[in-house]
Amino acid sequence: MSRRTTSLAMYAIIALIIGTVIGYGLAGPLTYNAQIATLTATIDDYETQGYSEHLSGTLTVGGSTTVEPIATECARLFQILHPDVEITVSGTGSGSGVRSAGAGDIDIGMASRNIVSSEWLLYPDLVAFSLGKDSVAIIVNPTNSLASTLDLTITQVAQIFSGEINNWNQLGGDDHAIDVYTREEGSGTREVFLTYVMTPNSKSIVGSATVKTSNGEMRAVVAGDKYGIAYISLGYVDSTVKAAKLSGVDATVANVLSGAYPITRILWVFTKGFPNNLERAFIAYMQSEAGQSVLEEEGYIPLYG
Amino acid sequence: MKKESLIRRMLFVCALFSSFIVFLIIIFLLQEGAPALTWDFLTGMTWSPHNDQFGIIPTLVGTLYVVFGAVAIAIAIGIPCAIFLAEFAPFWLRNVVKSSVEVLVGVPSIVLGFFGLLIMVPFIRNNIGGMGESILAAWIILAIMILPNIITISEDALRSVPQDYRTASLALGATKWQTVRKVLLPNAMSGIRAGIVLGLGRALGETMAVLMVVGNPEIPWIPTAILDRARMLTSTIAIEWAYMVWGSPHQHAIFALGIVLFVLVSILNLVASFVIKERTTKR
Repeated sequence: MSRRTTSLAMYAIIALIIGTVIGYGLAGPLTYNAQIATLTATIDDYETQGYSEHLSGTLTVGGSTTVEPIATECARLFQILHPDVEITVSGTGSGSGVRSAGAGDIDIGMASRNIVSSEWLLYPDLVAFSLGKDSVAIIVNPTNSLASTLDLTITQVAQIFSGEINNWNQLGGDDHAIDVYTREEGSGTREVFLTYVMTPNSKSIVGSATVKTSNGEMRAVVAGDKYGIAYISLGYVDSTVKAAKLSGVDATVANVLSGAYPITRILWVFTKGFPNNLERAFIAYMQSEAGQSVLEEEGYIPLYG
Repeated sequence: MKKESLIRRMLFVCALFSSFIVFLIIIFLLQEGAPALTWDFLTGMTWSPHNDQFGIIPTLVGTLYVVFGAVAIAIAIGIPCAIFLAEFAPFWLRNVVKSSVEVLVGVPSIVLGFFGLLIMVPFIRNNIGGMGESILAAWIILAIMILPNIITISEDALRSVPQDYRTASLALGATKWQTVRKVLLPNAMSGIRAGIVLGLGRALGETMAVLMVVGNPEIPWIPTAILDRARMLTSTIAIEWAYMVWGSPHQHAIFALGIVLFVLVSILNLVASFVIKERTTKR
């Protein structure tokens, strides 16, 4: 009895080894360059040929709340084209997106900032694709007496967020304390804000600033707080809040494109290793004309805009 | 016979499994959090992950401030309510109040937090002052959450005082209020205490609703006024887990916060079961 089990196990192991060798032999010839070539070809061909093949399976997408609305809408449209595909999108912040994609917990990560060197060291096999561009707007409540005229320099913004300017009357407004809201530390929007505004002025965010964990929450609190100020993705700016001018320049897509508005950033998605067929198809869709028009409608700046 | 022992063994495995899970969680928590449980952590005044500073004191003080305040409010409202329900309310009114209190148990904490953020926070900001997100807002939300615990347990304790005590007291010429104060409350005290301790435990572990209204300053400080903002142990974990780097001091510090929270809640649960035991052995 026991002898038979042993020989059975032996056969199984031998079969496994042979299978692996054959499998490796088949997969082997596809070199690094060949993989890249396949990849670019697929993405370029999406528009002209489309995905005629049948796609099915599930995809999990997570990370930046800035990229989340684009991915959510693209996922909805993509699932109409490919009914057997199921995509779930969640907004957990750029840092979490890099980490979970790098660790293989999710299929596609999203970030609204560049992947930094410490992350590349931890997750060297991430492959990143740009989706489009965005900016960061400084927002106040529309009923604030300064709202329609608010025009700040980058230095003034840094002074407000570091607590040096802490009353609206220092800017010519009502005599009331400024309520400063900030994002949590893993946020890509926070990182971009620090890079463009705080770090050049050697300032850090005041300790009493209230922490919010998404663009939507930042917009909601400022919409309800007459004396609040916050920074959010340009794509999230709507009529419930008012975006301040920076050195006389309005925060609009056109001004970001022309370079007059000083803050720009690239929106990224990435996979651990080269994307598989389904991941590739979805990323290609987001980069295609259909995906880029979604991005534009949501208030972001398309790749070739 | 064989079937019976098989079933017995299966039940044993299930029992073993549930306690095994508890041990796994404790071991995991200790293993990940212990490296951060240093003297600096327990006495530090600054929590700033960006600068690798992990001091728990402002968060701990903020947590206790919020929790004890909320329980005080819940006691001030809940115990008179329980006395009214147990002794004075007509049958139909008692049914109405009691069932609405029980509905309160079923309100998910995120819904309460939403109510707090959209209704209470602007109200406080416009009528009382400050930023609105404050300890006061957290007190009110938490008090609403633990009211049902305190009301139902206290009412049960009051009602379980033997009817003879009441009739004896009234026969001696005491008024109804004197009976409540001198006879019923002392007799029901251990039950009421158990309700309060359970309420404390619930308030301490509550995350979502508090996170939404308590303000969470970037670098927490020891609150000095009820319109100040504060950080809770739970809200800090909830905000920061998403960006901690696995294996960093920050991750260990967050798990250490979890250990502190776990120890506090366990102590409260032990106290509660002790109080309940004392009550049952006294009878």
